[in-house]
Amino acid sequence: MRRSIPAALVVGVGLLLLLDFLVVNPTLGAISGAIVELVVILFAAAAVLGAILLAVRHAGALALPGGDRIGSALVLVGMAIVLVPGLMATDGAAAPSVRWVVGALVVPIGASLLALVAVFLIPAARRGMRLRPRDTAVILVAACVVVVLLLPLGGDVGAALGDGATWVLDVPLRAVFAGLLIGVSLAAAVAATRFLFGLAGTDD
Amino acid sequence: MTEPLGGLRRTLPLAFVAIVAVGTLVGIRLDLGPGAGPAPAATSLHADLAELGRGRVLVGFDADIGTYAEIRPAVRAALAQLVRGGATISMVSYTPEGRALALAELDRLRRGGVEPGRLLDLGFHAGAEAGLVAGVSSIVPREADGALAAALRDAGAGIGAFDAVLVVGGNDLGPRSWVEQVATRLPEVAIFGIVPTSLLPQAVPYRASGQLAGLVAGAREVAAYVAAVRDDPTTGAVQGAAQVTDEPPSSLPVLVGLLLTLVLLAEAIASRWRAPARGGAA
Amino acid sequence: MTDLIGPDGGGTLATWVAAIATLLTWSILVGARRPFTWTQRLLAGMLTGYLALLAIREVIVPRLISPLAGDPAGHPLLLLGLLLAGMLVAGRWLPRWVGAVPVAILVGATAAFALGGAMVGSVLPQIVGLLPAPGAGPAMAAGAVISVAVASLVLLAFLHGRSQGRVVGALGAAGRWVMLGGVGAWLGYLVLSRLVLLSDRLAFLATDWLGLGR
Repeated sequence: MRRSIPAALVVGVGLLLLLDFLVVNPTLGAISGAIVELVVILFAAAAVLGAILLAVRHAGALALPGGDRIGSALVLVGMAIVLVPGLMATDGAAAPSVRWVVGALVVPIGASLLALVAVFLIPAARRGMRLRPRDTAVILVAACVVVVLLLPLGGDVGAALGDGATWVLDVPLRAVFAGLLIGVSLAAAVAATRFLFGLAGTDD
Repeated sequence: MTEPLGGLRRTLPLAFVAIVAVGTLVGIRLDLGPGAGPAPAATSLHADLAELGRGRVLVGFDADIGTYAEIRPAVRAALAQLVRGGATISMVSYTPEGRALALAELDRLRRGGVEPGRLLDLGFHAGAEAGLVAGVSSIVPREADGALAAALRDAGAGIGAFDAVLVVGGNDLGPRSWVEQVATRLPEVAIFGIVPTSLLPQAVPYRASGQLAGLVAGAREVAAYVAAVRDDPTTGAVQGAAQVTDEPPSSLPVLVGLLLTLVLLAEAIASRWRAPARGGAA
Repeated sequence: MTDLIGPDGGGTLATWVAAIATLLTWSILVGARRPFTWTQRLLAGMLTGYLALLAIREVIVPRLISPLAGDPAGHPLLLLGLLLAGMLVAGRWLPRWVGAVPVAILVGATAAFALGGAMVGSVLPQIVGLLPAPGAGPAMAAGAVISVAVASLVLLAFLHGRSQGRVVGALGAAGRWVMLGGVGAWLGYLVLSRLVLLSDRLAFLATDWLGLGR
């Protein structure tokens, strides 16, 4: 019984929202609106839960000998320098102290970290060539072709590359990604249908 | 033979950054431009946003830290164009990174002299897709006040109360989510997008199918769009937030980096076929 | 990107902190793993804290707590929301089914949004969009034929590895290679995005921090 309640909820909520998507009915719309409002609040609660679990885990790690105490302390410090001023200030995330942390630490560290992708792509490509040479070679050759087309050159060469890039993007690449969008969407739709109709054993 | 190459490879990441750094410095010192070429999508977005005039524009700001540097000049140019045209700008975010960047841009607009009555902060809405769906019927927060908030409430308080949506996309949430969750429910609202190069392949099918009314994507179109706004002959002297102040960076470091990447990727591909000759050592 | 802070945000200090944070993150380039790991941990903490802050200050307080504090009896839906949110947060320390109820609502809603949005917003319009427009010229028609062929191969790739006839199997295998090519092309676009970001960070260090090129 306790297991069947969540399964029934998944099916009930899902079907109701789908029905509202397909049929215009004020009563159905009002019920769906209420569910969506609850879902938004639950997503926010899930974010808070995630933060609590992360804090509990790293606070526990601080007490453990041999662990990465500095790393755990930094996670907690990171949370504190955003949460404490943000919760105390009247304007929350818009508070100057929070925006200072975002501008001086969050964005620089995040951007610097992600900028390294361009640098560490090469070692990753070499590793890929060792592990799955044929697949990796196809991926890298396609990447090289796009890189050539994206070269920001001027003159006739640049214009020709630009035309080539436009054609590649509008015809074959658009088709690949349209195919991927359709395929992934269909796969998601099948999975969602199986889930909503209880075919995937949602009560496990 | 393997050892010196191994040592070289260990220093490769640093050397890569150093070479791109030289390109960046030379680009800055020589004041090299971005090299904008013709881009019909950029011209089209410029014309479409100009048509909005004094309309109500919702900016779905969900750029991410990893790609905002690339689209920032176009986003600021689009905001400048909307300010010049007299449009009202309301910003909403569905991702935390988008919210952080949106707050900074809102502050920049206020400091740039945009009247408070033309700006509205709709805040962060949790739930990504669920948040978008919730916004279809209600996007104006209870605590929002002022003439713009009141006008939006009079028009229904949902996304349908706006004349157009400008989606500033990132890796977590972009035009696809807006098309799937909002355009399917409100087909009459025009959705425009500005996305980085990395989102270009997945956003282009929606531009081609007409589900996006306009899209500027990638460095080339960003540069062309910024140039279109900056050099707009119909606009007189402008100041404050209506000015285009954020120019796209020089393309020299990108050119250098792309050439370097090309050489190193080609070497990585060739390494597979060279490896047996060295006894299989990689 | 310290222009994100504003003029009264302690510009010099922010620039120095941002520059040091950038250099510590890039310490991995000279093989220093610990500072690199530390900046990642700090970032993880700050991003989690920021998400929690937004969830509390911009969703839970204005949409749940404030209305309930003013008139609890007038908002029965929000009382249910409070109960479900409490079950979700406390569910980890309570019997399993307590947390399963709000999770079921989240799963059901997410599945419904994915299904409806994908079918109506992506699948059908993209299929229509691939077909040649009426009155299209030879070049556009040829492009449309190529597009349909490529997209069909990619779709068949989703069947790759499952039992099917030889022809479909061969086309599915070909589609897999086309799909890998598409992934590679996306990688090319990603490289450009990341190079722009790298250049932006380097420009920040050179101009904002070191004052070169001003």
